[in-house]
Amino acid sequence: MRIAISEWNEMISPVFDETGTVRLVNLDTGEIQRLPLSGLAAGARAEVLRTAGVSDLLCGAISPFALKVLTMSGIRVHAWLHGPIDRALQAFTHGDLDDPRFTMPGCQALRDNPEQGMVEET
Amino acid sequence: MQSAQFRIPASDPLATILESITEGVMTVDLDDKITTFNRAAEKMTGVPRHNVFGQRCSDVLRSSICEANCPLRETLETGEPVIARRAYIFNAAGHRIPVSISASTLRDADGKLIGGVETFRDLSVVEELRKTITVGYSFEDIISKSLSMRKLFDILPAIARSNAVVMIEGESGVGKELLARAIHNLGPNKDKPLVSVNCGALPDSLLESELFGYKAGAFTDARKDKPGRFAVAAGGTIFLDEIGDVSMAMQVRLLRVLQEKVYTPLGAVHEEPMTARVIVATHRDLEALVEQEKFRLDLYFRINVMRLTVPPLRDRREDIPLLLDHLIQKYNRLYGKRIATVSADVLTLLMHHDFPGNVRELENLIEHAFILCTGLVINTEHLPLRFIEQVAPDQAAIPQPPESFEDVERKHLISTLEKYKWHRDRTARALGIHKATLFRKIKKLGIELPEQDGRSNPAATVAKP
Repeated sequence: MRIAISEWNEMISPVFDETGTVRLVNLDTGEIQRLPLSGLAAGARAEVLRTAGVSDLLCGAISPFALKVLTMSGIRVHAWLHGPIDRALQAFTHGDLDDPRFTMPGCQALRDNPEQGMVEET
Repeated sequence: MQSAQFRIPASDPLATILESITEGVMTVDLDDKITTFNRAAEKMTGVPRHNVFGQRCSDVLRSSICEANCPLRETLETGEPVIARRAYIFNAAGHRIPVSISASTLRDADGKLIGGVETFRDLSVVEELRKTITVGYSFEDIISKSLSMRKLFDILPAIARSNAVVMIEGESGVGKELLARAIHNLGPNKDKPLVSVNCGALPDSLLESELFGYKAGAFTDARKDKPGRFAVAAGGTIFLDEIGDVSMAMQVRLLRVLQEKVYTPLGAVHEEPMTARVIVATHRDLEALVEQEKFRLDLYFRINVMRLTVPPLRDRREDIPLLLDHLIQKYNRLYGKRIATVSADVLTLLMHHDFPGNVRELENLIEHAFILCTGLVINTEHLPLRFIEQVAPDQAAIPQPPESFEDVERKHLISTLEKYKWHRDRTARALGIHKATLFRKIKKLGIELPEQDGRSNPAATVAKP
């Protein structure tokens, strides 16, 4: 199982649409890779992750469009997260990602219902 | 906690000011942790302030420039303030909000650096307006992403709010009337009429009665009062197109209307007040007309208050694909077709064309193609032949292999011989070479001499050496 985390200085990057790098983690082998995403639009970002065989994406804020194309590419998106990547990763493997301390300030409603942001720009 | 050191006590008048301004303000310490967060910042981010203290600013603001282009980091590194950097943030509802962010450093009483202050202004309204203008159904489809046009869009709302005379310059077909309409629609009198008059289309006498109206009996057949366009446009906007084409006599009348804000209908005894906003347009260089004394300087000053220049399409080619998209949508609706796009060849042709007729020409081309195209993609065969012929030489302008020296020499010799009516003595003299050299060259280059040469004796046969 391969998961991707948008990365910025060891933290979850604040905005997926603008993040320069994602960290790819193979949960079975522990192998870590980094994929550059700078300059790519949402569609291309989704395509890069899909080609890399990513099943889950952990990220911060995300535009409704990016969320849509990622979901359509078969990637589960865990958005509106913040904090150190290592801890988020650990929480993900333990199924604790719903802990409010991983939720970006003020974004609990979006964590509970990611579709909420989708009303915009669709 | 460190953050307490620059929290402003509620009793401080500064706190009241901070709370009442519409710009979001937050301060951070040197670890990027938030220490102050005003009410506007709460409103814009949708995050209550008790949730933000001690949080990293990027996790709360979630701006598009946090990662690559953070104004705070920059100001802390350089010591220079960052002003009005455009970005968008994500609010707590997951919506993107366009903002303009400024930042500067924060120092304590001893001048020691303790953090930074960031202010952010909500640009939603501006963006919304821009979008409306760009996407444009309510503003009659002005579409552009070019910088020069965007700058125009930026100042348009302010211009619309004022009541000043606006002069729109631009080539034929760039959309001067659309701009006038946008100014009218954005202005306070948008519910009042917008009246357009093409001053170039009417002879003086007609223009006068058209603009000012007439009273019954003003002339033969004037049986009833007829209100002029100024009267129809009362309280709204009058758009005088092709103002550069009006006669000197008419210019005097217009000047009076603009100066005194009154006009007299033909045959009337009393003046009528002129209450319309005036927008004028021209495709001619008014300054040059003034120099040639074909346009009154005083009228020129009167109308040259707010001057907007719409660049020709060839100066904003980046708009062509955008306009194509829009036109395809428009004509799909109009003709009930489902054309998706234009072929790469068509796009190349269009991108290389200079569009002397500007957007109007592009629109006509697309409409022509729509009538002929039965498939999903517009190809070159759907474009007017005239257009292809016009543009194809452009395309064929791929550099030809350079001519050989002999070719050049041959051409030059022939043209010189022709100039001297094949008189070889004079040609040789003109070329500064000996006659024998000229003969040798003529032979070597295989130049055929005419039956009759330049020497006055028509009977003489050409001696082919």
